[in-house]
Amino acid sequence: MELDEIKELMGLLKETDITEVQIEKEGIKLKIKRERRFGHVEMPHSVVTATKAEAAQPAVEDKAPALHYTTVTAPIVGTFYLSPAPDASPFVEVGSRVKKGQILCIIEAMKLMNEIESDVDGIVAKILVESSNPVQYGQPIFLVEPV
Amino acid sequence: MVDSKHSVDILSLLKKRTSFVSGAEIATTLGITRAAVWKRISRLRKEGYSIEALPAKGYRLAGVPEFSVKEALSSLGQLKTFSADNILFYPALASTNATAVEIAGTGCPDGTVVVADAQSAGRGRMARIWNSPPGVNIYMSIVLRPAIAVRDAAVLTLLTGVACAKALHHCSGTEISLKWPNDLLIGNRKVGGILTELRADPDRIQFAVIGIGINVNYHKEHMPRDISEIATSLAHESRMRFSRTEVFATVILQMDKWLNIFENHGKKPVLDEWLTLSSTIGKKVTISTHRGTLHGLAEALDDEGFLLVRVDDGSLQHIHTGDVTYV
Repeated sequence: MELDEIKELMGLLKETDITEVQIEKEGIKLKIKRERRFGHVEMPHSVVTATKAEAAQPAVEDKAPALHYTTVTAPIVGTFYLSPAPDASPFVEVGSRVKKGQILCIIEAMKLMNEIESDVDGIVAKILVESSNPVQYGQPIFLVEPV
Repeated sequence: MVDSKHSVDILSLLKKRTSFVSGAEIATTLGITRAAVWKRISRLRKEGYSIEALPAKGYRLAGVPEFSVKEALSSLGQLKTFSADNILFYPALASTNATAVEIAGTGCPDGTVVVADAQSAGRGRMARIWNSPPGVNIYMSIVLRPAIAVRDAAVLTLLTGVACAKALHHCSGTEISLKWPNDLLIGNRKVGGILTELRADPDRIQFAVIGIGINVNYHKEHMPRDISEIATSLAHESRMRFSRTEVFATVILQMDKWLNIFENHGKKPVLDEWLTLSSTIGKKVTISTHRGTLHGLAEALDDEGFLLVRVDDGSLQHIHTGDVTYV
């Protein structure tokens, strides 16, 4: 077995979830073992998600990246608007830098306009609802990455 | 607010007499200097009170302003939520809601009311313009800090509709109906509108600002054409002029009453009263939203006050928001 072959094998392994491979061939016994590269910060988060996710949500992978974000949820049932009027520009977009207290959107219920503010300084990472759509109480509407 | 309290005291003193009251007597009774008396008399004149002054005789009240929030509150006695000290009147504002949101943010008390004779940027839902000429209508915004769950806040809009419909009916004798959620109608035309702004933490309401616009003596011929087709005024319907002071006082009185009912008995009496005042239930309606138009039969309210509409495919939809038109 050439060195190139071993290198190639290692490369292929990186693209998979496999962490350990053993090969016995022509008297050579090769064992490649890869440590899962979780950062110190992310590791405990993942553990927490897994337990939470088991209870209600099967989509563990979808939730995992959200963990270092702040999730903004809808405090009331209503209609979600990204702009103050149909022809106005949106309060924020993905990538917008927002300050704590800055308005992210409006949720309207029966002509009560609830202006939702960011509770952190950060960057809008994801808008989870399309404008003019209904939202339920407690539904996640934004992911904001604190800075 | 000590100053305005003294102005109220001077007024009640002058109102008790039909003849002149000397400056010295006013000063002694209120425990202030004669210069202070003069200052407050000047302020009252600026607010539209007509006060005669004669050397050696003193002061006499000769007339009250056409629209005075002070007069309104003094006629009501002790209220639970509102007091004369917390009613702020302005000759003109951009928007009473904008000013109310601003002062609410700096911590004004529950029950503060911002009133203006005219607005230069009065607004309705979705940044629409609310026509606000001077001298004829009522434009007011109420700051509330209710100790209710954030998710129950929307009931305040139905409550305000109920209180205003009751008040306008009481003042004019005209039948006022509510179009969901809280348009004030005479017949099929709008006599008043309500727009509420809410600021809340996840678990607590910081404040709600309830903006109310009422067309009182607004002449139909003075309305812009697109408005006059869909709007009306108390005066137009009743063929007489109304006292804005009295209408304002009655709205405040009814708001105080219904807020108290809501606090002590919850949503149900509010929703029940809304149903008796509404013209929406049982009607064929069109609801336009940003997403499109929906047709159906308005069947009922759910426990939250949302409109239940039976649409053409037979399903029942909970409507949170949208412009309702009667078909």
